[in-house]
Amino acid sequence: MTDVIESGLARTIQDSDRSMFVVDTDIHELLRSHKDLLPHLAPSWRRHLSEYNGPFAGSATGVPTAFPYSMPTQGKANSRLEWQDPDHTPGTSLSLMQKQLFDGEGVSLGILNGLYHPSAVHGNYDLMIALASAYNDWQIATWLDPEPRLRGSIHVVAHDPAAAVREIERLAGHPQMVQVFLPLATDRQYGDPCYLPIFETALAHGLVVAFHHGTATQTLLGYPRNFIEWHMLAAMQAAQNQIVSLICNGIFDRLPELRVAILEASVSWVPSFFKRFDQQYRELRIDVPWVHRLPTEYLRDNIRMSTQPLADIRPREFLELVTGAGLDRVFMFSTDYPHYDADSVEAVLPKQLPDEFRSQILHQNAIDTYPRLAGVGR
Amino acid sequence: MRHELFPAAELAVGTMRGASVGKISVVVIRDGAGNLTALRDVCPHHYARLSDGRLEQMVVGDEVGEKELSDTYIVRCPRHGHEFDVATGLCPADASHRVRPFAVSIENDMVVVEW
Repeated sequence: MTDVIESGLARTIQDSDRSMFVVDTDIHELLRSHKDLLPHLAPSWRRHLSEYNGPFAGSATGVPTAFPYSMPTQGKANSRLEWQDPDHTPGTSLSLMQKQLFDGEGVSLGILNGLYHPSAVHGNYDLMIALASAYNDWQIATWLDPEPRLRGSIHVVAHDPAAAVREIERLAGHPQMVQVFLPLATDRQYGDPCYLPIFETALAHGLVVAFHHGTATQTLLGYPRNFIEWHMLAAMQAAQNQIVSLICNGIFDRLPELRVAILEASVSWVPSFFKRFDQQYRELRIDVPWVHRLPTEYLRDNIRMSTQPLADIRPREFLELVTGAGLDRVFMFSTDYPHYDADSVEAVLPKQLPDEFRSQILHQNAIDTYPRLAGVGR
Repeated sequence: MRHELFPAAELAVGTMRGASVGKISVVVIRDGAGNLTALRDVCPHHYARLSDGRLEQMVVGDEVGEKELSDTYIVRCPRHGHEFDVATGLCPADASHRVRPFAVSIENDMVVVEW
């Protein structure tokens, strides 16, 4: 495994300015069509996509959800306008990703998170398990095998932890897989002990567990009337909910080496949220005596957050906020490629910020978080 | 400096009592095991008198869902419920959050604190 990783990185390091080595922790690769999965789907399931009418009919490339919005973004398909290409939907082409993200944005190494969330579907679990496997194999064949600068996520169906464990173990040996992917919200909160086997298996294989919202993620009060309301609230609220659930249900006390990555849930709320969470723990420790540390300590040791969308806070304020709260190891750079609100390296962290802080955010925090990125950038 | 507070017989096992020495408030505790301790009688959070709160065995648990009463006693603040170990003054939720402990003894049947 190590040989493969190192040979893949050789090109990355040669091509990159070492002082600007950039790890992007949130890239979205997309299917062009559900039919992309057919070659990777067990024959017994293929007709469910190719012939049977059902929720997968039409041109949608995600799993079916109740998402009610069209996204009023500049580029089609929720993408950045300058990344539009007449022949491809952004995110569906490796060559475009190489040109736009690696060459254009200066990313040195990136982690794929997809947008395909089989765990977001309630019911039809056996098909979802088959689709998760097919998606993983498609991800390897289409993205990871031809591009050594990419790392991947093992997508699983959270509703069936035993099947999720089997899928993790099936693919854990792949040298470019660095994390297990779970949608930010399912029908139970992730502190529920039913999910423990997923976390244990990820940890046993040196994998991070990543959480990212999707179209099935609702606000705490459902789908609001307008897209802006959903975009403002859904990911942040779900992230807050899951963080509280993971900590209060002792996941990090049981698995102190576990690292989770909360992706694209925004940034500016984090210090104030944990200030309140610490205060609640001082008052109500008696309710969760199996939790042995202040919530902020778990944040520093076990929880990592991607930086995008960082548009809601000025870079200088971000620096003060993060270092002032002792959270300088928590945040990892991300672009959210190819979405309309993707962040660029230079816009997010201008050159006047201290080098140590820049390197932590741009690569070191990710390298320290992902066991399988050890040695990257040296 | 030693300060004589009140007769020891007035402090039953499992109770606590507030007292003052000049401007210093002290809570003297005789926990359920009979141990005698004393703390500054001010919660560092919102400055309530801890002697108005509750003396309890600390609830502990190693496994999720497990809640047991330990041999450690805590005082719980009457306002927000912050806990302080009666022996050390440390808050079990946050080691940086504490009240000052005082040396305490019984001399000639009187409770005596010293600082």
